[in-house]
Amino acid sequence: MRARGDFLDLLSLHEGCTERLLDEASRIRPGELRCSTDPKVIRIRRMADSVSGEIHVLAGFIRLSPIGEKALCGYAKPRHDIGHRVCSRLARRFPGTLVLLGNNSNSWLALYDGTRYYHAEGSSLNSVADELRALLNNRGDKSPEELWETYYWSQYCDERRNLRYFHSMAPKLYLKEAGTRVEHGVGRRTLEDF
Amino acid sequence: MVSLQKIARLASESRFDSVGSNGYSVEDIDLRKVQSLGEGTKHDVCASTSCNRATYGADRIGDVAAAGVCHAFTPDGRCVNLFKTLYTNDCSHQCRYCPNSALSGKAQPHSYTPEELARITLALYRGNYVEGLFLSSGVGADESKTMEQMLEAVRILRERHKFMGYVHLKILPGASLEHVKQASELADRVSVNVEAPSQARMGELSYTKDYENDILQRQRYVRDLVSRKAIPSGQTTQFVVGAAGESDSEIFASMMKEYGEMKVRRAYFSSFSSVKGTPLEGVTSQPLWRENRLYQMDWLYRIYKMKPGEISLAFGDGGFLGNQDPKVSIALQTIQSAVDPNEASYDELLRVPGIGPVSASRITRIRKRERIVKREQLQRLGVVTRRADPFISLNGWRGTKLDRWAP
Repeated sequence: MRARGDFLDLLSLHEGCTERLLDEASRIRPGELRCSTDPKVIRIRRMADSVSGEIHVLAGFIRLSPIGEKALCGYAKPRHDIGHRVCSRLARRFPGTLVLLGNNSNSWLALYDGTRYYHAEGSSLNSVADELRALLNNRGDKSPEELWETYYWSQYCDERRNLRYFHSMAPKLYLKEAGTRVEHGVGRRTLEDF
Repeated sequence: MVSLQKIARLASESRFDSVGSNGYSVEDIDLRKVQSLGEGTKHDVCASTSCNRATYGADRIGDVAAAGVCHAFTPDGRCVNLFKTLYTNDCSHQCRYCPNSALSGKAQPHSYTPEELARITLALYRGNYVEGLFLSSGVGADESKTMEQMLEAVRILRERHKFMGYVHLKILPGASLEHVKQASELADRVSVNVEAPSQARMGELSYTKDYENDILQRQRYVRDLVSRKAIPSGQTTQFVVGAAGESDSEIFASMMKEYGEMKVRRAYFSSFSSVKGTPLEGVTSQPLWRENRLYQMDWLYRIYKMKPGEISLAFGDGGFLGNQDPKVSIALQTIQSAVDPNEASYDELLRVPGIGPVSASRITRIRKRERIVKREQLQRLGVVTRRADPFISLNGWRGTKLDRWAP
């Protein structure tokens, strides 16, 4: 019995994955994958976990701004090759709305029409967003960032302040990859701000 | 893969739009109100958004995920994944610990309208800031009227805007059976906070809440609806820890009743912290580790499947847990000789500190093929050997000795 297909798919998206590694991984049995003490198998398992972890975290951390009524765009600079995966996951939430994710060099687009996904790729986020504005004939809509910032700080209990725990739950790496602005200020605020 | 032009054309031709251009607009929302009503829920700790309900088709907004998603963390490390808010902070109940109660000196009560609340939820959801809505409330002047308005807000989301994201709805103390039924049809999860472990303890916290009728009876309504699979993610509850001077064993006994009789999915714990302006302002706040130890105890029951009698060994004098992992306390009293990972059963392994369900399962699988002879093997299987060392032996050799096992 071979390793599961979705495991190999995840592994193939890892930044350090090679054809040779994929070939080795395809020969590992599922049971062995779960409980082996072989360092090579553990490394492969951790690589796949790292990819699925990044997809899961970024799908939550990325913020979307509207481009008119028909498109949403957000900043994302993932380590692994997961742009389309995250984009599809977000597109599934908004059938009929185009989701654009990207950074200074790459961008990914996904549209879900209720039954199937359409994907596209482009250059930098800003240039593709400008093209989309022109194609969709839309004005820019306002992002609810201020509303979010107000709400976010309303949930904070100062007596529970624990920045070490915060950074273990929301590592700087992921905050940077998702380009989150509000949470990036955490740690730079002082008691006087409250 | 399609071209940018084609994907843009497909999006512009999409006819589905249940929200409309003004549906996401939040420009007229009073941010002081958002802050005030948000702060009213910051001690409510239920944060799960895990849901297995199916969502499909084009005529909807949003979906749910079985794994749950965290969208942000506050500087205290707690997850923010729902728009967690009160509908109103006006409350006629006289709970002595609560900043929203009639006894507290809050300046001005705030309240949303159902439309406002729906618009904010949709705007935050579309920006991927939240996974859905968590709606609680003060009871206002009349719990039926407030509950009706809360339900109306969720109804607007679900029926007018076809919102399929996660919704957690609080059942107000004393809400009618009809309102509980309506809540079960609209929400993914509902909850009634018990707050205190018994009628007597509740009496010390609130002069106006009837523990049996206002709280336990509402939980029974929900339990009966859950048993008919009307609520996808079931019901939960929450304890305020230490506000009425109750011991951990009292909370544990009440928690067992909640799991056994009320069939709650999860019990949550929030350490009492004294809030300025409330009658308990001068009372010392409870240490946060107490809440943490109660969660560990809950974990031993739900995930490790330990029996209540075994867990109760962790309680010390007066029925309080010490500031030590309850699993270690129990292990020190029950593990009589060092455990050999090559011979021990799954249940025996699970009782060793540093070995969890995943690593115990891995050990039982791997030892069919190879003998475990090194600590490194255990580490690769996920065992925290630093914690497990005093309780295990490999090849008859122990890493560290407990005093009582020393020759």
